[in-house]
Amino acid sequence: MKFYRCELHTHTVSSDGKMTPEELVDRATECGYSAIALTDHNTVAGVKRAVDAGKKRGLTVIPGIEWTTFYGHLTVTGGGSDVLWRDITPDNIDEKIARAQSLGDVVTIAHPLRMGFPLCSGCHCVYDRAKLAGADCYEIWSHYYPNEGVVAQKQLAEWLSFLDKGCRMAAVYGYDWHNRDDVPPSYACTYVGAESADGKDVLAAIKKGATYVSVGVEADCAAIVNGREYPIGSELPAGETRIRLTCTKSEDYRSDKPAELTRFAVVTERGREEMPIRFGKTAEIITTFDKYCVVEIYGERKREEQLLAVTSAFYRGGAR
Amino acid sequence: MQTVLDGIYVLTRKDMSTHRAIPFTVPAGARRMRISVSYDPKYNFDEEYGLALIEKSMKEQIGELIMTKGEMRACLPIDNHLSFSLDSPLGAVGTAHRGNNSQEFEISETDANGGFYPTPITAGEWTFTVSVTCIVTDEIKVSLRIEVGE
Repeated sequence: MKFYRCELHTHTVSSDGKMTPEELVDRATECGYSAIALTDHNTVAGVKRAVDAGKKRGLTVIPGIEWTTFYGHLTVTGGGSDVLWRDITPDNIDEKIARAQSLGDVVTIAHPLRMGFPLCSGCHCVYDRAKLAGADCYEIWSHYYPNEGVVAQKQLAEWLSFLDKGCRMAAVYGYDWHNRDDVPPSYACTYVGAESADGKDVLAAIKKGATYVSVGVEADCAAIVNGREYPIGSELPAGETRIRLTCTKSEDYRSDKPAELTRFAVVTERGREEMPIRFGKTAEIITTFDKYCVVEIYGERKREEQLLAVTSAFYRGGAR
Repeated sequence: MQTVLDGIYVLTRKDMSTHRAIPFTVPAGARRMRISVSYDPKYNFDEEYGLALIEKSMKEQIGELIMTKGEMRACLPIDNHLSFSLDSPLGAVGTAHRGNNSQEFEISETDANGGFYPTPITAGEWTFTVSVTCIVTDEIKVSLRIEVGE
């Protein structure tokens, strides 16, 4: 398994993006992604052109759509869903999520706590959270300066509250890419631990929860139980759990690279434990948990300590 | 081209977060469709109202102010946003979701633009749907013309 840099939330001129599907693919290739998902608002009109362009450029393009409803946005990736966005209501959103998943798609709650009306109506998610509990992923970071600010903190807290309720929801980043030249120096990406960068493998890995989001940090993170190593997203057997972490700087990151790491935290339903860490060094935390265990990585960037990466969870307690 | 629909539709604040379905009939023999849709106004230029609405909404949604007054002012003027969808007798033909308040679409069995899918211009009952994503003025007038031809 290898972790691939992916951008799972993009737009083209088929909705309100400024790039054609071919331009998006060219730009994504230049930015070094292994895979992108095209998630235009309420249409898949640009998908075929993007997939064809991706084949020519060696870039995986995952078919998708962004359900851009009045009550919140969800990206749906895989290309199997037959759900019509206008049929989605606060009362049936759980059924529509399940329908898309039954057809093989991955459903992600997009930028749930971003400001909505009157600046971006529908962007702020007001769906009953209990009805979103079956979603596959949660965009804990999105758009510009993803790891900074109140909204990112609140989204991280809300995602952890889903995990605490027993949900199995991968953490993802969504750049929500609309314009050719608006990739800022501080963008993040979702790393997906897949067998290959092929779309089916990437989606299968996301469904398993083998992801982490990061600004400039590549993380080799595993849980070790009874001498056996488990990747991010795994269901762990009972026993003492060692969370092992080694980090390197991302060579693909554009600028504002982290200067140095400071610490990492293991966050579980029981609380958090922390340990210092540096780039290139391996550190471990021994922990105990019954539901979930997430790793947060902190470091110095832009002359302040920031949260630089968050892994999806290791789980206990059985599948959802 | 033959005009099969030419109308003006008025939306008010009560229509926020609703879908307005507008049925129309396509005669036999058509091979392409042109849809011209525009709405007005696009913006609410009342700065005081816009700033107050942003601030109130931010407190309600985020729980606190995450923008300075200057950053909020940079978001002005606040604007209306409508999405447009099309359904043929064969099913959904896509959605156009973008900020422009004047758009034109051409659809045929082999080509389409703006978020719509290529589809045969089948004779029968079609529906154009206006989805009111955001309305920040007392009303919006939507002008819609749909033409078909060979």
